[in-house]
Amino acid sequence: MFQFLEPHAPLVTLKVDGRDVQVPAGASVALALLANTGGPTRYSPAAHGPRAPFCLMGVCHECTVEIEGQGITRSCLSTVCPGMRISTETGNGTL
Amino acid sequence: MGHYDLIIVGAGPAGMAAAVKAGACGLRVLILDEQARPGGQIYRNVEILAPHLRQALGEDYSRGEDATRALQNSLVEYRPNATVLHLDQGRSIVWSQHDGLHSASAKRFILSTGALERPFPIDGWTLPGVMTVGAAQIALKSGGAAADNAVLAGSGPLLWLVASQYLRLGLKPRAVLDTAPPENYVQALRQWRGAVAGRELLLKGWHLQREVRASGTPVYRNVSDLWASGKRRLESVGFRTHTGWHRLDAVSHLFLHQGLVPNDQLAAIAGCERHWNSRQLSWQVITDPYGRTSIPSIFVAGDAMWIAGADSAALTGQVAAVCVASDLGHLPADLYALELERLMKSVQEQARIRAFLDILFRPPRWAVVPREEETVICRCEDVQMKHLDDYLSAGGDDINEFKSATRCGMGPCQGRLCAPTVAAILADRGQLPGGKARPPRPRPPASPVSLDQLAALSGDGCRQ
Repeated sequence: MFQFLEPHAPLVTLKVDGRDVQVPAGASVALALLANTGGPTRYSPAAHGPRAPFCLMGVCHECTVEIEGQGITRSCLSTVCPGMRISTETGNGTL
Repeated sequence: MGHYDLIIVGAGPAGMAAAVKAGACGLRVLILDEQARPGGQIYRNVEILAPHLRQALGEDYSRGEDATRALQNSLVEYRPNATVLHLDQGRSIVWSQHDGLHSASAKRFILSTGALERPFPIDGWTLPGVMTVGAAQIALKSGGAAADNAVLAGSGPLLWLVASQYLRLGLKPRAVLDTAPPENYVQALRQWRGAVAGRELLLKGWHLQREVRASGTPVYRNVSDLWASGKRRLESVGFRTHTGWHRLDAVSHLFLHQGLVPNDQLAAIAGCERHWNSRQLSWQVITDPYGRTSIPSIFVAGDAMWIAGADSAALTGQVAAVCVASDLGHLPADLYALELERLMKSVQEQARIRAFLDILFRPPRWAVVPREEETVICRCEDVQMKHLDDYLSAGGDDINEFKSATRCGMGPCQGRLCAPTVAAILADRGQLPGGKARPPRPRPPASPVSLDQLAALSGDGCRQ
């Protein structure tokens, strides 16, 4: 799993699939996913293969999640906001 | 609809330099960028990064702040968080921001959309936990996050740079697997002039490698095969060296890197012609020496034109801006000639160095043409090597036909991560350049867009 290196950075609390996650302010939503669960955040449509963020720069589209208010979007291009609600494809649909 | 003299897409080194230059020539300039802050990938977040992280990333990174400051202080209109969807007929552009779709027109465009990492298709590369070395660096720059016990594999300067950045932050990688084949060194010696010209760069690289080795990080040379495996995510990594096969278990992250390829997706959508660059093993936009594409109103600059690094990008960005200024009558002929001569001299020197590096870091065949039939070549649509093998064995030779038959290149990334692999496989079989192997033609939108955003776009219903 990814770990955040700055112990004193101000933290932001958001909900990922209904669970509280804390990440430093300024981090991308994709990083919040990578630091929260080591497992898949979506499945490939054709072969249902487990997937997670790959490039972190907006090219691969593997980091796609649903962000409340923003719709389905690449999480590597979104910065975390307090109270943000995120639903991944592997969650149960809870925002 | 807003009207501009020049619209630039991408605020990395090339775009920033182009914007500042064009602004200084008196042009009305709009610069759009997908990220929240300027700097592109290499100078990502340089404006706001914490001091201890900035120090670990090195002074080449911090230098980017001069460029971002110049952009912010200039009179050009800069819009972040803007994802360009289409560039139509070399005249008008549509992009999306959080508040919806926007459009504008311009007399000239500079596409400085940078590069992306060359796909490195190994068995198991789609597993959660396998990412690019660039992603590891982005995690450092955009959240101060790092993976413990990581394996880095591949070749090229970025591999060693990130390994040493990790070490400076107190994280020792589990292993560094160097895939550069020994014959590259021999062949690179023929370009010794480039080596001499780039001696500073080479010395830097040598220091980085020494730093990594001195740390006690296990470094394996001449890696000739690599796989990743696991059930729901990455668990193990296997690799072969001259002493045989090795296996690492309980690996949580594998970072891959085999150099960069131009991110020319928007140029392709806009209709710019491309050809296969067999030295850099990538599709390349066809341009004149100054970056003008087959569509006269569109230029490319920086790594989007050809991979040459940040310093060259700042130069080619200025070259394109100077050409645009001259096109639009904002630069008298004698000044134009002087500027161009000065800039092109530096561009050519950078090119000599690059010729050497291209050979030194050329990916080995196995890293570009998958050996295993089950290896995924199109991540979005799960198209495997065997599907392409079957197509080629049946006499197929048309990339676009293969795309229609298998959906390879039709997923959300629109071929960004499979087009280089498919082309490299065809080139390996002697079917590129030439033949019917045209580059795949991606269609707009350049990125997914929601229906409600599209619905709001009717006639002149775009926001300005």
